[in-house]
Amino acid sequence: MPYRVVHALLLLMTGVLVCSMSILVKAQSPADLGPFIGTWKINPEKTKMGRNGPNGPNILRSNTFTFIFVPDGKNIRMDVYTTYPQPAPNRMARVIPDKVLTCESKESCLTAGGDPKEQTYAWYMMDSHLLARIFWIKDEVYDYSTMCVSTDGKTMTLISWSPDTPQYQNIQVFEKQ
Amino acid sequence: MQTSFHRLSTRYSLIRLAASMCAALLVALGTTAHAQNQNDLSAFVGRWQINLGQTRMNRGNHITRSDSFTFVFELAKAGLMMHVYANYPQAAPTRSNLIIPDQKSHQCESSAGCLTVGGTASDQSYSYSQISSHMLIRVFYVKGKVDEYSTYSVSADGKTFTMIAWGAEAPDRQNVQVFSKQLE
Repeated sequence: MPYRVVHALLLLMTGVLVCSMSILVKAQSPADLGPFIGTWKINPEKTKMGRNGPNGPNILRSNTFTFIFVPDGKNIRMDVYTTYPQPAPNRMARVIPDKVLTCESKESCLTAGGDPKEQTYAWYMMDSHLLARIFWIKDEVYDYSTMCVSTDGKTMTLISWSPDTPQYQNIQVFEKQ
Repeated sequence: MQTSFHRLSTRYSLIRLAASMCAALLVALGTTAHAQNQNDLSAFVGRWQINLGQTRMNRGNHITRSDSFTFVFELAKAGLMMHVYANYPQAAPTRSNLIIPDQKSHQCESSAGCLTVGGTASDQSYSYSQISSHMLIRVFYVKGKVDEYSTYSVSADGKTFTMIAWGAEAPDRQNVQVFSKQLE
C-alpha cells in the first residue's frame, strides 16, 4: 500500500481517536458540580455517627467541622477543617469523577487516620447534586460514601459506611454558610 | 538517495504516529476508573427479608413495612431483575423492575408503579449506576425530575443488604432499610 494512503488512513484514525477521547473526557468531566461549591458547616443535632455500630468507637466531630468545596481547574476540591476557622485545612481531596486518585495530603485522608500513601479513592458523579465515593486502603475497599446536596442547595448530607457493615452508617448533615 | 531517505523518514514517522495513538488510547483507558464496568452483580442475587429491628424509616413519607417485606434479585440479561413482595410469601410480586446499571434513564414498566408510595407508572423512570460489585445507586425521576436517590449495598460477607433512600429535597432524612439474606 502506498505510504500516502497509509498516512491518510492513520491521520483519519487519529482524528477519530481524538474526537472519541474528547467525547469521553466530556462525558466524564463534572458537567456541573456547582451545588457543592461553598462552605458547609456540620449540623451536630442532625448528625448521627454510627458507622462502627451502636456500641462501637464512633468518631466525634467538633461543632465547627467544615467542608469547603472550591473550583479546581475543570474539577472541584474538597478542603476539610476539623475545626473552623483555622489557618489551613487539615486535609484536602480532589474531586475528579471516574478516576482513581492517591491521597495527596500529608496527613491521612481519613479522620480515622492511617498512612496516606496506602490510601486511594474514586468519585462517581450521579448528577449535579449527588457524588459517590469508594475509598481503598492498600487496594481493599475501606469505605463507601455518598454526598448529596438538597434541591434548594442549603443542606448537604454525607452518608458513609464500611463494606463489612452497610447497615451501620455515619450520617453527617451540613448547612450551607 | 534522497528518495530512499525520505521513505525511511516517512516510515519512521508512521511508526511513531501509530505508537503515539496506541499510547494515548492505553493512557485514556488506563487512568479511567469505570465504575460501570464491574458487571458482576451476583452479590445481590437471592432473597432478602427485611430486618425491622435495624430498619429506620426517618424520611417522613409514612411508609410502613410488614415484617415479611422481601426483595428477590435474579440475574437478568443486562443486569438484575428486582421483585418486591410487600408480604412474603405471596402468589406474585407486588411489583418488579429491571436493573440495568448503565446510568441511562429507563421507564418504569411495572403496572403498579415503581414506588411504594404509588404514583403513575408512566410518569416514573430511573437510572442505575454500579459503583462496585456490592454497591448500586438509583436515581428516580417523576415526570423527568429527580424525585429520589437510593443506595443498594451488600455487606462483604454477603449476608446483609442495606437500602438507603432519600428525597431530593431533603437528603438529611432517610429511610434506612436493612435486609437479611434468606436461604433459598
